[in-house]
Amino acid sequence: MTAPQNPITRAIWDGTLPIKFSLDSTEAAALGAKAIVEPYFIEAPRCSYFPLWTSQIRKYFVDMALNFIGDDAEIWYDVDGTPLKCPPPLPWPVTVHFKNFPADKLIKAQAIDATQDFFMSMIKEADFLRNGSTKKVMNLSKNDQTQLWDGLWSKNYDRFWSVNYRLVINDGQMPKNVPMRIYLPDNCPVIQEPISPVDENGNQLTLGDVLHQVLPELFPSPLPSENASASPVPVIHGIIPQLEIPIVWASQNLCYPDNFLHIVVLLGI
Amino acid sequence: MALPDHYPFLTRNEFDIAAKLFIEQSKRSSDEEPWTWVEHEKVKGFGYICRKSLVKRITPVNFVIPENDFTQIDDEIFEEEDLNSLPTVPVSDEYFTVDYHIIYSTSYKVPVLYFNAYNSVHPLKHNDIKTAGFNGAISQQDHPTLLIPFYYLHPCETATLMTSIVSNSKIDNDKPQAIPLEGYIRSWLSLFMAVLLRAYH
Repeated sequence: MTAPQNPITRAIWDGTLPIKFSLDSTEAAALGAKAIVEPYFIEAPRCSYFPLWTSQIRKYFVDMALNFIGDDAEIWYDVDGTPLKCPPPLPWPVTVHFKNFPADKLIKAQAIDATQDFFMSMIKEADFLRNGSTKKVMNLSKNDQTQLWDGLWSKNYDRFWSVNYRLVINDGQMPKNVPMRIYLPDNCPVIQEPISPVDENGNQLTLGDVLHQVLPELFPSPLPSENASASPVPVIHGIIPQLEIPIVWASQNLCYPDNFLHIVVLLGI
Repeated sequence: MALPDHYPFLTRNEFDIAAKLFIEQSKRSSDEEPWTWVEHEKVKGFGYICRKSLVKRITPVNFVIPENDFTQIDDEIFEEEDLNSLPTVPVSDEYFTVDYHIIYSTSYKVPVLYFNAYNSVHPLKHNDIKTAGFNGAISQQDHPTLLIPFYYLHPCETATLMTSIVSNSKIDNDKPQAIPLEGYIRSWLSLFMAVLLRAYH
């Protein structure tokens, strides 16, 4: 079964971000690096998880004469000194570590299995938010459930979306709640509130309506502010979407593979 | 007696009320380690319940079965095996420290049991959790308030379980039964603690 042709979900799927991975300088000597180790540059797919690229990052640094024989699960990343967590949003540049895994701050991915487990938990949670139960996901055949993950890690749009389409479109029924998460700066807890896609009269809510509802101090109105450069803005997949887009449309077209809309709020550009 | 509006689901506000009532009861009870309420240092609406417990090791340190003897434990039959192949937790401590956190899930609208376990030396890793005797559908996730890794029991079956204990009640009533807020956390906790620490009989 081929995935429906949707240029927007295709563009999101193909979206990449250039990331520069530098080896932690304090580890270089201990790991036997003889000369300066050049950083590793990749065009990282936005719709992915860090553990899926760890083996290629490791291979690059080991080929550069790094003496590391540990497990992929020992490898971790930081941005400006803060250990990098698995889910979006993606940053750059990134420092790679092969030692001293901070188990009190980061979940250690046991190979790829823990990431797959995490991914499927998110898919189920999204289903629960949309429908009030996880029946839809649980009723997918074992083949289909596997196909979701396989499609993701092998970067196969058709394989992934031919199953995901059914979850996201939800048989054309308006979801009870829209699966979404909002990220604020300064180590704020992730905001995840049940968001109905319609108001009490059945009118569809826009992205602006939702942001105004959840974060009224940052978004005092559902409409774009006059003073654009000083106001908070939402960012999805590295772009600033228009506040007028219906939230259901955003959920179906701009979601990440885990079915959630992950929205970063920047406080002024 | 305040009832949840949509039992078995709780709103964030109902969870906060139920939690405070539960903590008050826990403080009055003399035979329990007290539970406490913790808020996020800056942001409202991310409070949770927690306590530190000393838990006696659930699996025996040297689990050996005499020759020609089988012990049946929850449908599993253990045969005598080479000692080196038996699952063991890395140190021989008799006790673990366990941090229990009861957090509110905004998606599933129920409490969720989060926990981390430590022996005298280090935090228990994923492999150790099962061999130490913790049961149930356990995964790891960032604590929603503390943003650091915790183990947790999957909440997808919570609503079903909370409904089932109420419908088993012998009270005759046309309306669906519901546990009031003042007893909700205690009932929920007894269910999930039983799952987590299912002891060998």
